[in-house]
Amino acid sequence: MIRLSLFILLISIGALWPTNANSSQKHNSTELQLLADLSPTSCHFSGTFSQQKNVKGLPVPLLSTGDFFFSCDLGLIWNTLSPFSEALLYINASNNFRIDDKGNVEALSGVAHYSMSKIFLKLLKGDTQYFADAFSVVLIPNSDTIELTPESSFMKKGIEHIHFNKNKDEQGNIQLEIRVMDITGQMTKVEINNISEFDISGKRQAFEQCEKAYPSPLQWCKGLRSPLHFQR
Amino acid sequence: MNSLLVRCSFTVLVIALISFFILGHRHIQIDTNLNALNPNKVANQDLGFAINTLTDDINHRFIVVVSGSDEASVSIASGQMQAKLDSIQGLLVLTNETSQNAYLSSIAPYRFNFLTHSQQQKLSAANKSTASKEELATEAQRKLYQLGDGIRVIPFEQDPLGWFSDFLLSQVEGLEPESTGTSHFESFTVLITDYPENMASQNALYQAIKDIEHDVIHTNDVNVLHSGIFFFAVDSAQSAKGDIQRIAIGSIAGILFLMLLVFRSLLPLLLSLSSIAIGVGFGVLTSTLVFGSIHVLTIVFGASLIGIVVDYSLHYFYHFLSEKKQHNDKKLLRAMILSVITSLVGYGALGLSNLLILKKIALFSCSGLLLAWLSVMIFGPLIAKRPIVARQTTLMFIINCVQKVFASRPKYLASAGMVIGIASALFIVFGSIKTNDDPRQFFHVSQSLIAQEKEVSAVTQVFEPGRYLVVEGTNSDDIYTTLSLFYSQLGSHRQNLTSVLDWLPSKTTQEQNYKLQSALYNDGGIVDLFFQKLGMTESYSNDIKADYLNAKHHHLDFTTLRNTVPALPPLWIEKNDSVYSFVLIKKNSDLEKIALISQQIDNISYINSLGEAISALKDQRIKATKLLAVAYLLIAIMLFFYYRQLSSITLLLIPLVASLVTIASVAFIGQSVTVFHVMALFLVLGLGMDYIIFAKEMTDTHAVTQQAILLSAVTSLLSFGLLAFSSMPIVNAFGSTILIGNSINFIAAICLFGLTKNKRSKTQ
Repeated sequence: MIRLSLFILLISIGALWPTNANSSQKHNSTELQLLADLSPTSCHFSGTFSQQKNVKGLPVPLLSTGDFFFSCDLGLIWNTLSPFSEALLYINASNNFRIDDKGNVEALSGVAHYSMSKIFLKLLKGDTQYFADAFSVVLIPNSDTIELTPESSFMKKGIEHIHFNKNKDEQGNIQLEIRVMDITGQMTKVEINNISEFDISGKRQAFEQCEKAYPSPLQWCKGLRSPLHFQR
Repeated sequence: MNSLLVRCSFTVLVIALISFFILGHRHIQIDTNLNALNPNKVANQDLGFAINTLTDDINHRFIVVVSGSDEASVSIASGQMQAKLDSIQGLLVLTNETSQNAYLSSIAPYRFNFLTHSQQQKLSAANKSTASKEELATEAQRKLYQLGDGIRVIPFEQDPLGWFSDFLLSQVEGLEPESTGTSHFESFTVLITDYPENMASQNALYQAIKDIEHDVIHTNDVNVLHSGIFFFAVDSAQSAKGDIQRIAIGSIAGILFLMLLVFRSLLPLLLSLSSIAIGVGFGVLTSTLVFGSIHVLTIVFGASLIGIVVDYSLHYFYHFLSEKKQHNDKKLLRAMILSVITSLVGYGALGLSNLLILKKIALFSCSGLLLAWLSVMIFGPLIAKRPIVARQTTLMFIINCVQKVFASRPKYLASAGMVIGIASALFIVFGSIKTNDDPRQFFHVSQSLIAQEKEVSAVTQVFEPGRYLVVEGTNSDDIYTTLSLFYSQLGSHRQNLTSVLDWLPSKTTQEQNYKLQSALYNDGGIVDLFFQKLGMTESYSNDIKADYLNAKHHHLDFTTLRNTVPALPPLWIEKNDSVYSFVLIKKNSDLEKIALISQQIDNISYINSLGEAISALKDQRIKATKLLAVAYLLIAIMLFFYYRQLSSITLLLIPLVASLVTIASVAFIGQSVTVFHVMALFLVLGLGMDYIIFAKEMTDTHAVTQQAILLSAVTSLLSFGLLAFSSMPIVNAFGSTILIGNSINFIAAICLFGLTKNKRSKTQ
């Protein structure tokens, strides 16, 4: 009982929501269209990110930057470059790893990572139905911001809202901004930019592209292709 | 003069009885506790107290699951149900949210006493090396930045390094399912804080819960399931109530019809009904005085007492039939005394059982029979002063019919009876007849409730109600040492258990954990390094360091924790310098494996209350069979001393053959023999001897005696026959045994006694 309760706490940093096969009927086409507009146009891409976390009680914002590689067939490498070196590998909801600057691999367990990897992978894959089922989606008036508000009381216990902005920079490159506001008042802003899309298909080509992006250390891409690589 | 005094005294007693029912009826509690069927008693009183505390807690909880295809509707419906159930006095809804808040607020002040095994190892290393401290500070910084990490379940200021949060999160194992396919569900627990003691209050609460469920289902298009012992108790009680009504109404109606048909006078009817009312009333009074309540099954069996009680008035009136010229009062008194003694022996033997329910039935029946008999003996002469007329033609016709069928050649009947009896005995001994000692099979359980129970346990965390482990020790460390050893040997099976170890470390471990955390919160410790890495001054760590120092020597114990978290079951009981701690087992666990491992460790015992109950009931069945043999022996001795003839003992062959044929018959038709079948055989003996004694004693008026026996048998068979159609297996077993056995008793009493005399009188 308590364990279940504790699990609910974890919503504050991510979300775990069940699929609902019947619910698609209730979503209007506007919601799906708004979500579709956010979705990446390619299934394989890389880019850079900057992240800012504002933790309640901590007077300084936590800034970090890095790059990433995503493939629908492999998963996500989230490589933090500053203020320290660290890579997170989100292969699927249940296989996540952290690799530090010394190459030490740590399997990430727990609901928090499960939730975070799930939400991230769904977003990058452009799974609009997933978000439409769990959120009410509106375009904030007089802005380009799309607001996702949780619909179930379960998710409302953790997340207040998520804001998405999809813009183009001066060079015409796509920029994506995600702001997650949780009920404890913690705000996490992630900016994704310098996106490069790859016209490839299949796991093999995705792996080759990953090797190009991260030639060293090679184990990242190998781990992404096969989680057993880290478990050996 | 003496008889007047006796009558006056008895009248006063009856008036007192009536007053009790008028003025004190509120004190009459109807008990529906199914544990009365469990003969198992724990020898160690303290352990018994601990087990009862746990059992009561489990019995006083139920789980509600709200499910549906639309998540929002499920959520709204669940909220509505929680609010409505919470508004009922005596119910406390334990939601995840309230439990979470209570748990967190209870342990947060003691957060410096909690560490995971991995954290302990890291801090041990950090206490020895500055490099390790540096690493841990960096790790805390990384986690704070990381996506999906650095979660704080308490404010950052109280746990800047996130160690306490990490400890809590490590306790979360896997993901609890919130949906199955296209169905969504929410579940919560309800604690019955003020458990309704009597049947009426239970029904009222049950109805209130059902009404709420009904409302919520219809308002929100969801499904609601519930699971808990409370629902089984109410269901059994309702089933028993139906039986009580059916038996009582059937018996009374049958008796009214018979008495009016035979005597065509209200006076005998009045005495019969009065003796029934006095007998049943006194039974209720003694049960309430001795046991504090009257069990619902006692009432079911008690309702059948009507058929026995009325026998005394029947025999009495038949003795005073107006057609008779002479009344041998001495003979009547002797027959009446012998009759009541045999019935008391039959019912009293039930009290020798270890089953509480049978003790209750024995007390109720014996006290009821005795006072009913007294009422007939005391008030009977008043009624017998007036001429009593009975319509004998019909009864004689029935008796003649029975005799034509069975008694044309009494010797053949006796021989046939003996042969069938021996054949039945051989069948019982060598026929591998089925027996059943499983208490779950003893009472009626709604299939719908069983289905709900299964569905609820499939989607929520439900613990085995009758199987758990108990750890014994003299202090906290004893318990934790045993539990740690047990858990270490369980391997992955530990996931299926919950004990204090999952909620709270021992006092010693808490002290060790506190000490280890000095590496975090001492001056120059990890927390100082952490703030430096964030570019903040060390002064930011002053508050948390002060909190750490203030928390020294503060420990949390399970009793204190449970006082603030009612969702926790009573896993820790202290009694008389002993500590008992329970380990609950989730349903669908490998019970054999868990039991096997527990056997290898001292001071931990696997309790299988169902298995023990089955074993104890088996012992009861065997013991009851031996006691039955003793009862036959005692009655044989009594008969021998009374009649001074060795041949008088052969009278016992009638109930003996009746009993053997009955058991063989119920086994042959596929019923499994239970302790209740065996206990019913005591009544077959008692009732059989009743008929035989009257048939043998009242030889001067044999035709009349046979009519009395017929009437008596009809009333008894009516009562017990109605029991045989009960939906409750134990009542059914009791009823069917007596129905078959007593029918044989009746036929033998009618056909084997006084036939020569009757025939002679007919010839004359």
